[in-house]
Amino acid sequence: MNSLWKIVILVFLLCHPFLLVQAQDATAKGYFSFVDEKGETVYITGWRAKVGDQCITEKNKRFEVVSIEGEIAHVKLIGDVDLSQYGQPSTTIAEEFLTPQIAYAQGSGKVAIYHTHSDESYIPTDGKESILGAGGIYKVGDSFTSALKAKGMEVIHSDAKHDPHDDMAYERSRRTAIDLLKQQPEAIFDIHRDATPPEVYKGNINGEDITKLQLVVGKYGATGKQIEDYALQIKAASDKQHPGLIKGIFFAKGGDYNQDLFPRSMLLEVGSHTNNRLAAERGIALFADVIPTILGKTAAAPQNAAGTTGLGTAEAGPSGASKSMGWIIGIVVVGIVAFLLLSTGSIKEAKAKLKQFTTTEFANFFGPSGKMKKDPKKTNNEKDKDKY
Amino acid sequence: MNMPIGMMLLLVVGVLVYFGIAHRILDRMRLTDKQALLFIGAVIVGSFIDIPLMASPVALSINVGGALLPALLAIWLILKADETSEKVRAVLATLLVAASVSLGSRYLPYEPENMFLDPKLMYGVSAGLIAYLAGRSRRNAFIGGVLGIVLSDIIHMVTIMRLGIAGTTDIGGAGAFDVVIIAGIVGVMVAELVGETREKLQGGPVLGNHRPEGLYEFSKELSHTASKNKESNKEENSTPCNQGKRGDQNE
Repeated sequence: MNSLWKIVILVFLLCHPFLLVQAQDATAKGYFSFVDEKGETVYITGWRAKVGDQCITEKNKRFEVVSIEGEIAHVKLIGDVDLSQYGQPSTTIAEEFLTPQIAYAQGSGKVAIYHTHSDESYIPTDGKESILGAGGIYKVGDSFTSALKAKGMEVIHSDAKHDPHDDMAYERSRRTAIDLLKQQPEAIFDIHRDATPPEVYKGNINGEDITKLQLVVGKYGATGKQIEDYALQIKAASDKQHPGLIKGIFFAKGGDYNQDLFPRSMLLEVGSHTNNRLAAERGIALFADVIPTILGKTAAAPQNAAGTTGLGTAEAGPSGASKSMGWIIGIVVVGIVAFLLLSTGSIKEAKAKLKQFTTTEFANFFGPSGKMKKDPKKTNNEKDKDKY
Repeated sequence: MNMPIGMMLLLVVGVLVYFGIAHRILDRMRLTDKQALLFIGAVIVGSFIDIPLMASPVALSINVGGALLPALLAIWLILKADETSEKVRAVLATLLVAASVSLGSRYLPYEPENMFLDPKLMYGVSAGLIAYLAGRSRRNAFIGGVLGIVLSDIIHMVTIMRLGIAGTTDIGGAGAFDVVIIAGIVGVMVAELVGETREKLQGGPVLGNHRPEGLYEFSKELSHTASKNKESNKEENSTPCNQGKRGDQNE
């Protein structure tokens, strides 16, 4: 009977991918429209929405998905996001003018760029939406690279390939990301394109046709809060320099997109597969203008001097980094308590287990504990007799 | 580096917690605490070393810290296993994990957003469950997680070679933060959780011929069950220092 159960569970584990795929195919058509309480479409993305996902629109309204119906995500308004607390504390024109230069002087000004989905391409210019190993997305990365270099920044643009476009792509690109991080960049970008109708990303800035950008924040890991702060800083800076360039921020609950590796990691979607790649290249080149400002930023609430540590302030509350640290420590503590209770069933037994853990777990690391050392003449058996 | 203290602290806390957990896991792999610490040091240093194995048609390399060292530890654990059946179960767990990862990566939705768990954790959880079912053992969970992912990387390399796609395979390339090590760690944590829960549900560890030396029972400290375990207490009393880590039959 026991082995029968094992076989059943093993078969299930091996087959669960197929079960999930069937579930996915039922709705996998194209893109998701986020519809608010009034029935208006407030956001569109190719990302498959889940209940609990959030987005911030171009006009800085924050919505949360409350239910899904086919490819319609019903959202409720959480509120307007005040990006002013993420803005640069520029008081004079001279200071504003000098900000990028100050930022560049403070840090190395090194930026790393890679592409997890090496195949992503733009149909109008590349002919196909997916070209394995040589997607048009690399050219968008090249445009970002040249624009940053033109500002005097150092850029490492990785041409590593992570095909095929499967769910291990992020695990393969994780290796590229670490490789780039070894070269100590100030910020790291994973550049993608979305999959929506063209009008969603079409824009015109300074008379030029461009495609807008979407920032994606992985909320899965404990570092999600820090990345959220970082995304808001980027949007605040971009809204100031090039209003309308960032179409919105999508907060994805399902993964961390390797943003757990570095506090200044961001996933960018530059246009959609239905947009013209040249417009996408122009869009990302404009985004390069924002980077020096972002790298010069040091706090969640920089108008307050105490916020420059990046730990937060009394007025604005803790920063994303502080919240993320809290999450990491909280998860460890809750995990230990939950495990103890689950494996012992009672607080009394859990306490006994914890006591036993603290006295013996590190025994061969720190040597026997003080209690054990007390009377070296006593044999173990004698010590045990004392106990009972 | 121009980075506020908050971000730096976050990096430090993250790294300390990660290696702290890794240390607790490794010391269950026939390593002492000191050896486990040395192993982690070697993994960190090894993370910076990539050994190229092949340049074309697919660039293949292996990272010392992210794959070579954990794989060697896993192989050593298989060789050190007491019984042939345990070795067979470890190899079986590895093959099943590799199959699960390869099938999963091919057929699961390609964005982690569409899945119920981040891929790097999901394959760790799969490794833990599969290895626990195959061998009811923490060590098997580690072996399955580590070697399963390494094997799935080799399968991936063969796949892209067959399809003629230009690509790179850097096994364990993310070093200490690679999915190879994460799957090993998460696997052991899952096996530990499942093992402890199962033991609790069945009312304590199974007693019998294969009972490992030094098996600790909390019940001896609890009066209501003390009488039941009088006999087993006698043999445990002789090894108070090593008690506690081994709660399961085969490890």
